[in-house]
Amino acid sequence: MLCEHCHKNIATVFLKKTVNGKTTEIRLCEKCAKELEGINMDSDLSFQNLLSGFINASENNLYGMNQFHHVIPTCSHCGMNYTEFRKTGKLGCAHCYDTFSKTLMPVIKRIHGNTIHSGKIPNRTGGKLRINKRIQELQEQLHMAIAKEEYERAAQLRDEIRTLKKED
Amino acid sequence: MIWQTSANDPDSDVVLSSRIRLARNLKKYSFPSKLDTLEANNVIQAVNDVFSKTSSTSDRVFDIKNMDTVTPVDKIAMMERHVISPNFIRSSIPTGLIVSKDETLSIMINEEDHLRIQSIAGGRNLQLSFDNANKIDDLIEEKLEYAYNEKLGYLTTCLTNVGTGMRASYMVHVPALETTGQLQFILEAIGKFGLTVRGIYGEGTKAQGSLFQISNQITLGHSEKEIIDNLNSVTTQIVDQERLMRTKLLKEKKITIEDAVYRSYGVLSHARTLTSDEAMTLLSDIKLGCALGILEFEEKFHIYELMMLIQPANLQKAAGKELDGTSRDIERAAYIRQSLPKLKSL
Repeated sequence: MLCEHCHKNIATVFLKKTVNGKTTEIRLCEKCAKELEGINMDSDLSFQNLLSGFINASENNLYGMNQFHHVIPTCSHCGMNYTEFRKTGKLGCAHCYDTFSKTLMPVIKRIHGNTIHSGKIPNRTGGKLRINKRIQELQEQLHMAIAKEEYERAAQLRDEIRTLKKED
Repeated sequence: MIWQTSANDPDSDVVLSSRIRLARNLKKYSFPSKLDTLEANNVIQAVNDVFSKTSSTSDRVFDIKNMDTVTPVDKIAMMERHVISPNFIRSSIPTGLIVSKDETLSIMINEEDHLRIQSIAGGRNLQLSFDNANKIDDLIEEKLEYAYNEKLGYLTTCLTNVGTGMRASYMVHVPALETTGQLQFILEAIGKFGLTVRGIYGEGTKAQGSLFQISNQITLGHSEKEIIDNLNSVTTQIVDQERLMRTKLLKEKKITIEDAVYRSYGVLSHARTLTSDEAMTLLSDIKLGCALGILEFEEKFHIYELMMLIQPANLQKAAGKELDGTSRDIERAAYIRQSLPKLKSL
């Protein structure tokens, strides 16, 4: 089969593009693929490139092609911008996970087949998480108690919440 | 000797070592990719403080190394012994290293993540490696707060490590699977279990002497125990397949194998120059010969340890001077002749 663009060389690159849910297919030779789509067949398929591929794919799904540069923010904490992350595949700080959350989650899902951690919980952070959860529960009970005019119970709950907040 | 396999390790004919690596970052600082020199030094100081205060209480004694004062040859030698990673040597920001005296536990500071806690054990001892790494992890977490997210777990520089931040791996010696071409099938199959195979020095390095690292690829969504169980069951199958192939080879091509093993011993015990690649291949034959009972030595010796000590930087350390390629090959041949025990006379 000949390249659909130059009609001279054998088509070796089969490109399938999905833009806003619409799929188009085009068959190109290596030369045209490089010129038209920036696909370089000589470059080594390193892991970083593969990862970038994952990231690009998820961007396209989210924002459609060529639009993301205007939409994606920069991390206010470490200054990492999206183009840089896309190039290196490395995040700059813990806050990047929030800043780029929208594009990261599909990539994470693609890499790990999962988006929920089910392993170790660190004692310190885990302890805080547990205390915060307990305070929330008690506050709900407190509101109930006040609504029911059980003031003695409410006072007890208020003290318990105070002690937990101090621990926190 | 750090690679000493316990005498009753039943899989030592195939599994050479077990390794756990935990990736951790401190909440307070940007990840190493966005760290300047000053902040990088602060991270090193914070971690060093944990160990300078606790080293006497724990049963292991840790050495806190200032990587600036370590010579390039020493760094590469540590890399060859698997104490640090190739990536760690190339870092553009200040790095630190905390390492136990026996080199089985190490903490790289400012590699791709703030902390890379690594625990190695000889033979098939992944649970022991994990327990040791986990203890260090708890010890650090008592003093420093990690970047951790309720949903995504431990946050890492690269998305491929997020979650447990754990890479568990076995170093396996699979010459029979390699020569019979069976390894290719196994490589394809284990991908389905979220596992992967790498060369002996990790990602992007080539295989030498039929040594391969099998490790988990997925770090999120599986617990540490599930990752280890998964790796164990696949490794058991690889061990079984390798043994099956060895028996088959020995049955069908006994004289060919015996000849290859004895020739390799002959070259190793008499050659005057040996390249690293050639030595690795020949030592791999010797290891196979021992496992099949073709060769028996007068005294016990650890081929895997020798494989590390004949790498370029370790060889230069042993010689006490810098050596060019040709002198290294001469030195290597001499070192092997000296280390190789005599065969038991039959």
